Amino acid sequence: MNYLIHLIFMFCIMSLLTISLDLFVGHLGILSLAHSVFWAAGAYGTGMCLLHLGWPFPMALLAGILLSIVLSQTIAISAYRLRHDAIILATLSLLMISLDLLKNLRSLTGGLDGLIGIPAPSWGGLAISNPLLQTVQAAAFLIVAVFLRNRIIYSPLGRGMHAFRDDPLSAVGLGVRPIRVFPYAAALSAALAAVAGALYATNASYLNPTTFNQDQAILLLVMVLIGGAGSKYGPLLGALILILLPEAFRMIGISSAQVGAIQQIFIGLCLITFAGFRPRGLWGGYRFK
Amino acid sequence: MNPRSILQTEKITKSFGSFVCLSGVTFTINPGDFFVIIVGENGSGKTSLLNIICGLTPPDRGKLLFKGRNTKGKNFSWFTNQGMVRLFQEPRAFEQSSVLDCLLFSHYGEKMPGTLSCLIRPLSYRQQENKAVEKAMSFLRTIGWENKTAALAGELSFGQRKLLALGTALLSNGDFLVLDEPVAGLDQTQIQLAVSLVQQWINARKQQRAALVVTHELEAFQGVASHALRLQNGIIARDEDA
Amino acid sequence: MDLDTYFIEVIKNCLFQASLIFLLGIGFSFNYRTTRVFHIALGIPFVAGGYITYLVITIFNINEPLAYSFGAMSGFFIGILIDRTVYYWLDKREASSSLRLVASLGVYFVGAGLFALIFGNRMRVITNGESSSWKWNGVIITTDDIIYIGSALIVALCLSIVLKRSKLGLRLQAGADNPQLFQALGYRLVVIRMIAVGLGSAVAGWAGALESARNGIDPYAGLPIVIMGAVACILGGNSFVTGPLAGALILGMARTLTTQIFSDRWINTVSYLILFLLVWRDPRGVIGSRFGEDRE
Repeated sequence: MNYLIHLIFMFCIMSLLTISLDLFVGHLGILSLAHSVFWAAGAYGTGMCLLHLGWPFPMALLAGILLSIVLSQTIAISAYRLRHDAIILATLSLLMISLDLLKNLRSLTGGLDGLIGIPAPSWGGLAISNPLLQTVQAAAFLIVAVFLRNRIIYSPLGRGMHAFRDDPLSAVGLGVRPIRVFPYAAALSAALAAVAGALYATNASYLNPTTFNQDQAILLLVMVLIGGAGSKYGPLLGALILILLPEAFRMIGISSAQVGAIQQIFIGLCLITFAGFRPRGLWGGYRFK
Repeated sequence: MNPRSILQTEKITKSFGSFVCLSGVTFTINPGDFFVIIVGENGSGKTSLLNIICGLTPPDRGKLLFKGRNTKGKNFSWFTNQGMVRLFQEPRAFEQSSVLDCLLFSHYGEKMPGTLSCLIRPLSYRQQENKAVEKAMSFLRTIGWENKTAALAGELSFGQRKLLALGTALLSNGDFLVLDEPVAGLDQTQIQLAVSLVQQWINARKQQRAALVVTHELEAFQGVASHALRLQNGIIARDEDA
Repeated sequence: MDLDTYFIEVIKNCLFQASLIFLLGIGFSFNYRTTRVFHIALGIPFVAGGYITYLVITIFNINEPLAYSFGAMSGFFIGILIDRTVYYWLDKREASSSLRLVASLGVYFVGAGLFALIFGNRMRVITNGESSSWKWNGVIITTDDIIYIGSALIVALCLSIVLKRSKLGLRLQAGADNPQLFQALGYRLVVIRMIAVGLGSAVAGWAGALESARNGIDPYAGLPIVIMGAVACILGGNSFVTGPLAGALILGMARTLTTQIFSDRWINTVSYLILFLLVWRDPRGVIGSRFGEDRE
């Protein structure tokens, strides 16, 4: 039962991350590998404020969100300057630099030893320390995130994102500057990822930089692409598939030692199939050209 | 130089190596003008002229003023911010957006509501949206596309995409249209519709708006164009009375 | 340590750091210039070369230089296999560069997963590898230094001669610079492409063989080093050999100086910062922006 609750919790966290990443991938058309940075910023920002500064959870959460939003602006500025393959490299660089900073700034982040003993979240004296309650909290945030995402997508800002995704030259040709769209989209995406980070940190009560490494960043991208970037529920579907995949492999008798490798092969085959056959993903969404 | 003109070129010259593609091109476009430049065969300098007018390429020599301002060193984004709207020869639509969304995007332009407005949706936001939808629907009714609101722009035919691109230009906040072969590839009905839409658009605000059309076919614009020039081998050959 | 010795030490360390990066840069440039794919999956020939070398040394007790050749050969064939299956198929479907990069990532994942399944996740180290060291002008030079730097020099020299002085070299350059014209003149582009891809992947396999014999190999060793090779190409300019060479030397110096001044903990940070600034500096795009500027 505890394991099931944990799976649902991780589904909520991954879904928050895929919905936020999808704002870049499906709605701005940017293949970003930097999303782990925003997740980590939320996690470490919240964790450090709770541990080192003793801030209440709502304030620490806000701090994590703000840190994430500030970092997201580097992507926002890169995104409308660069061609698409260059953006992948720029976001990968940002991720690797951030990971190194997390590993090497030991006094702040604990380095590879990690940040230990992050307290459970508490809302005005009501402690959410029970795993079931934390899962319910995560699900509530997910519902709010989906609601906010839909509000933005079906709004003038959402149309602006789609216009820059489909034809940036025409979008500029109609008098809209990229600065009216990219920073805000990036900020919202980063804020949602930061929330996922804060919830993750207070659930695990321990953070290590390897959690946010390039493998995780690629996995998030895979979830969005396979599920269907730019579609309503594709990112959620992608998160669900990739959360359940290791369980499915274990159920058919693959040993724990081999599950990781088999999952990688499966993900690799999905990426190749996606690139060649189904650029819209399973749910059907934005068609990558 | 006329300070109230929309666009003024003076002796614009452009070369690529030893090939001179534009030489001494001079003309003025004033508010209310439906200005047509007829181009000859390939190599007449059409693309270079259009790219210079929009700030995509700088001229080698000569001056370009847009709304009285010297445009030296200015890029495409500057021109579009000043109210120029360029339509390319290949209809560029937001392929994976719906017809209605394309028109709504162009309607708002830079004046789109802020993120908080989009999230909270106060009354002012909803009123703006209703007004935008009404304006877009009015355009769609004019061209008989009331049932096409949800159609994806990328799934339209070539001619339909050209009309949609024209619609986005007409509904935008721009006041100077630069149209590259706007009727090429359209059938007769579509040609008449496109020309009359542009004319109505200019006439709605004659003191502020103008359009520059670059085309191979003067015939479609005879009777509506206020001025016509022929660009041949990079030179303005003669001023044709439209 | 006196100034001369310090200077020689820095140069030696720079060349050492640059060697492996240069070899992967060669692999990357040969692949990219002919396929136009950002070939992250070059990590697979690299790792394959490493594992093959590990196997032939530990099981068959073959001497190191011969074992490296096996590594290079495995890289050659695996590189061609990847190109003829996945990338060729994507060419037919006219996939964009972003989709090709995604597919390349997919190939890398499949390859790394297969290696992990077969060999396990832990690093495989050849425990009977021989190592010696000498002192020259106060600077310690090890077997690793000689092997890595020597390999890079030999590869640079051989490929430069081939590219400058042979018909094959001229055809490789022509096919890379203008594939349509190359084909229109009656040459077989598919053959030249296979040779270029095979050569580049063989060099990557050779590099993997070196790493395996000297430091050990694991299934995931490919990605970080391929990225460095790509950075070298982007930094040095779009050419077959001189670009990766120049880029690798610059990166090698940056990494050496970072170690000297700060600590080796920051060498990857500096490398990725260089990549970020490079990519930022040229908003037209990455490698594609400077075709034709450098000639062998």
